[in-house]
Amino acid sequence: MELLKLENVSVKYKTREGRVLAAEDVNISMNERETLGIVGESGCGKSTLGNAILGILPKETSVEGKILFNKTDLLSLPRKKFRMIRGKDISMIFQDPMTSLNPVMKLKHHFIETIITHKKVSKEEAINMAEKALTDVGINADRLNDYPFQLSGGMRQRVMIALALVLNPKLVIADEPTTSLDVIVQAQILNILKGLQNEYNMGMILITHDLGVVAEVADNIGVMYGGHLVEYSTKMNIYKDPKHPYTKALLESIPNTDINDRELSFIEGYPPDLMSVPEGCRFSDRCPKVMDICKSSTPPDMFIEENRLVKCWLYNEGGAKSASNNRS
Amino acid sequence: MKKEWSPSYRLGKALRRVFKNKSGLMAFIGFAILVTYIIFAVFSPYIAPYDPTVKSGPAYSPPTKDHWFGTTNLGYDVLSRIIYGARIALLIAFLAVAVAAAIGIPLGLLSGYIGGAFDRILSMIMDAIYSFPGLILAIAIAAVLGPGIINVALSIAVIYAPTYFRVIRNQVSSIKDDLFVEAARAIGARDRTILLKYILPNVLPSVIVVLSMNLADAIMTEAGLSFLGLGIAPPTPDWGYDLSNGQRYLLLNYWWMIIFPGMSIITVVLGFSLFSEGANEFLNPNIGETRR
Amino acid sequence: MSLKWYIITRVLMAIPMFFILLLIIFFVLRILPGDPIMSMLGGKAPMSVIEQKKHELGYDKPIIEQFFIYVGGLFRGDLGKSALTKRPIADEIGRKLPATIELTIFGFLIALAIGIFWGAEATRHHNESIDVAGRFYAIFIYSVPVFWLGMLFQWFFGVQLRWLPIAGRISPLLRPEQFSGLFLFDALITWDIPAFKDALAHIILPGLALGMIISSIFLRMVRSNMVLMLSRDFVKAARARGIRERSIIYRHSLKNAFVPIMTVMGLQLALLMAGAVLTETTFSWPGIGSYLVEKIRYRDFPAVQGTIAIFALLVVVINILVDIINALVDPRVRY
Repeated sequence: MELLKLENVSVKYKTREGRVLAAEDVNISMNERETLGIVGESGCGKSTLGNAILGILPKETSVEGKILFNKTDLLSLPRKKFRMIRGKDISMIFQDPMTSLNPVMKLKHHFIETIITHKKVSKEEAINMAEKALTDVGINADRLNDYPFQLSGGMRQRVMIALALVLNPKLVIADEPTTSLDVIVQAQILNILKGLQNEYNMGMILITHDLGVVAEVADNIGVMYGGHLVEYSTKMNIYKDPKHPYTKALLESIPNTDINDRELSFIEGYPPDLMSVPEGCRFSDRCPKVMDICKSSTPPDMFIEENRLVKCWLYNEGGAKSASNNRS
Repeated sequence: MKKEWSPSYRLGKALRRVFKNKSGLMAFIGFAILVTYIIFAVFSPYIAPYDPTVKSGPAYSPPTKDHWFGTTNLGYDVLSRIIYGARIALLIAFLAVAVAAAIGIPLGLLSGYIGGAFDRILSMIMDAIYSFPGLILAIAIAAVLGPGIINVALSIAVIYAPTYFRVIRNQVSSIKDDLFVEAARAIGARDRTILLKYILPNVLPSVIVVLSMNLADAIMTEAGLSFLGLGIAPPTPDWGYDLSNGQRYLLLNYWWMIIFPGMSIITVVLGFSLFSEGANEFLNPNIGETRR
Repeated sequence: MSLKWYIITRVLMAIPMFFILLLIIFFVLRILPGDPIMSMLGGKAPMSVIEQKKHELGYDKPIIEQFFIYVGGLFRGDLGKSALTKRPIADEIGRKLPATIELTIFGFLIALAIGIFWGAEATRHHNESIDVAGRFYAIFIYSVPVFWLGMLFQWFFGVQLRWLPIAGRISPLLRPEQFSGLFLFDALITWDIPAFKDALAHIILPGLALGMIISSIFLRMVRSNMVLMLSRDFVKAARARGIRERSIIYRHSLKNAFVPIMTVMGLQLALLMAGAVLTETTFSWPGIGSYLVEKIRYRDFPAVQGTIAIFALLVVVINILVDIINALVDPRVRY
């Protein structure tokens, strides 16, 4: 069953200096219980996309296209209805657990507030639910009376997970959930997430720059670059047979313990400034296989197989021919 | 010469920026108000229609064609008193702020640079003055010193000196161990040179905003002092005194004796605040949001 | 650290501050050029009279000794005798103090109400009309002298409309039975409705004038701190949980912005007290502000010194209170 589908989603920010196109024409979908990994460098628009699905972007932002969640377009919902979905049907786990909890509120009140906003239950019932959720993530229930600053980073992230899952959402968006934690805690958090996902039959979107993390937990992977979704496929396809030059470069740039003799490569140049994106393909000025057409027009989303998307002129019919024109 | 470098081009561009930007416009309006009052103050004999300390019409006259803002209980022209009043207000404010800066900045420099017990004691004294209601301290000092422009300015200066001291001291103590200061010390520069040539130029810009805000506060305090009868001896035109004088006739509904002097205090203070606020935001757009 | 220890250390830390304030006041009133005795006596008094006066006030002793005698007296609650009325200054001030406290609390509450609600709503409707109006209000009110605003109120509500009294604290015949000296409070606990109404009618104009002046700073503070809070991660996280915007503003942001706001409000206390002196003078409000001005007019320097020392004490005490309230609201302050 399809849980979430994005159709031509574009996100524009207005700033003092001008407009920023943080995401453009993103098409992607995911099923129930699936884990979708979204990877890319910082500033590629992956977090923006996550925030757009949840509708928590700043007021000055405009989101176009359709975000279908269980067949309803979230963007056309009235504000209040959308709000009632947040935290109940879709919830989010943030990067920095140190700052994502309100420092002057006891944990208890974070839970009670969230539960009572969405469910008609008494305070006692809410506390019961909170205790269950905390135990699920391996934290003693009597910690509910603590303030956030009395917890360690890893514990706080577990609290954030408990808080996100307390109402059994159908979809949880985890935005770099492990980035700010140290390595041992990272694995722990990922395990907890994965375990709870199976237990509660949730879909999960895992947003990260860390290909290692998605390799562990994702079913399908979307690769973003400069606000575009440049490649989307199953985990196997992405890792074993990447199509887009950016995906290839990205995979080559991660240290791999299996292949010690391979020289670690890096991508020359910098990701595009989203204030003034280049014409055509966003990756064109760093792409080793750049062609003339890449500089003038944006490649369309091309499905080269069922459920396999590449946004690259190389895979256009006749694209192989023009590939001979490339400068490298 | 390239077009971009010509002064007129750059001036034009800067002006366009000023008017396109809300805070720039604010600063400009404030500046315009200030210029008006400065002109009033400098050229009051040429602008004011009457001598402000001579009976120039019937007493208690409401605004008429001859006396736009009416007359006082002694038949003085209110408009003329307002125009001449700008002299006292601006003179005392500038004098007070200059003295305050002259006390606060050097002490702040030394205190921040030397540190140690000297710094702690001085900081404590300055913090104590800073936390104390300025007007009340000024009242005490003014009461002891007696009336007069210099005395009033001094009483106000004492209460604003800590502002400069704090701004400068905190910055100096935070940059005195920076690399460029270390480097100067390493090449054998004397403390005096380091303070005046390396540190002072770095901390001085932060004073500018404080300066113009303080001018607004100083005018308020001066008005307060003279309202309480601790300012300049009458009949010298002084807005605060005129207000307290006008209050006595409030029950008789002689509103013009309080409305106009009050409005002049408000506009000139508003001028300083708009100017400093606008300039601050315009020059540091990032800090602007948090300060507002 | 427990709250108790926090309070104890905070009080101990305040003592040197109070001491320094006393020293400054003493310095200003006794050592500055301009002889208080001379100005008290009018400058033309014969030498013998001056000497006698000096002796009477203890001004002929060494200055350091004078200071310690003064401070010693202060800690026993003895501020000396008024040069004018010959009554103990502490008694005189004690009788005037409740009026000032009542006025400043009333003004502070008005300022707080305007500042918090307008500031919070301005944050919620960032850059909309309520926000822009708030910014204009704040800049404009900041430029208005409190005594002028008071006079304007007197003229409009008192003289033109004749709605409210423009001077004094209460009509003489309605004075309620006294417990705290705060008339509104006393009238309320004795259920003296006419006295309550009368006291309220008297306090509205001065309280509103004082409160409005202070509110401009509160409004700015609340707004800027809350705008800052709204950009914090925990606000975003709360939004992601579907929390109502109203709770986000009043519960999450306001409570977090509270500590910086309270700290600045503590500093604005100085402004509140200075404002109180001017407001009391404008409205003939019988508090220590108008007492101070009256004593200055009569050159009663011992009384002036005593009054200012009391102001210093108030500043120190209220600063401690602000810190304690902060510690109660934000547990991190204590730790």
